[in-house]
Amino acid sequence: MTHLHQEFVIAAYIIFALALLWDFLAPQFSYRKTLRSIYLRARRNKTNSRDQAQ
Amino acid sequence: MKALILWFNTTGSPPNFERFAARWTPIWFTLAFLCLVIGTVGGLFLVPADSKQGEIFRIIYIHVPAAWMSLFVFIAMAVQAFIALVWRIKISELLTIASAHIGLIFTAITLITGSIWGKPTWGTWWTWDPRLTSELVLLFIYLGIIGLYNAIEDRRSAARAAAFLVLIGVINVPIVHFSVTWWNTLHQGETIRLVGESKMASELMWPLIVMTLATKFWFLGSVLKRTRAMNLEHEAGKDWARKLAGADQ
Repeated sequence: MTHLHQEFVIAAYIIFALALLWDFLAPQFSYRKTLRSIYLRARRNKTNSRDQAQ
Repeated sequence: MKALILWFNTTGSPPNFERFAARWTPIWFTLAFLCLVIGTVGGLFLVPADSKQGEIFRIIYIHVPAAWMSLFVFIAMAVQAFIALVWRIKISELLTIASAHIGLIFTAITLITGSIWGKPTWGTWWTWDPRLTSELVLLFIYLGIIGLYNAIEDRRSAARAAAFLVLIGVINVPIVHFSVTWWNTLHQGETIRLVGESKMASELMWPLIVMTLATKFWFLGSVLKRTRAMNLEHEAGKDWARKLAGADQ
């Protein structure tokens, strides 16, 4: 690419890549966060019920 | 037909959907990544520059597939919304909302890359042209659907309200598509046709086809991934979700 407006083309492709990267990562973070909160809640419930039994 | 409905009902159960999405998401994303790499290399380095527009025309390899996706996702979302409202299938509700997020991203890409192309070509970042304005309205409809879904506390009612808005908003899809035919616009008319002869030179066409495939595969991967995350969040109290999180050990 040896022409004027090269920076416009590069900017457009960077925005495209960043938007897709965001679309790829956002649900991944949300899924992991939910898994962790389910795990922590279950552990807390287990500890609470053990304490009550004692 | 009966087998299809049975398959849809079976796959639509939350634990089955989790397994289905876990299996198919990486496959769609792998295909999408492959096509994205091939299409980008082709679009940026392998095809010659356009005789009239020069290098700036290379933006069409991301702008046009994104614009097609902004409409395609809306239609796919409307089908899911219809299924969600008529048959009240929970996964269809989640697929509708997941699609709205992806549609929003593709519409934003369309508007931003179009604007970047417009500055050196038209001499302005933005103009109130019918195609641009109707695409901007599409962006606001996507935002409205997501906003409405998040504004209502009960998830099932929220999904149904959003589905209604999707079915009303689908009227904008033909307006965006035919805006270049119905009104005098600055935006160029149809240059690429799926059926019939295109105005674009054939040697410039292949990266566009590859990028179009890439965005379609991307949508399939992303909609499964987003729906999977929402499905787990909704089913957090269920045994299968606890087992998946390793909380039963």
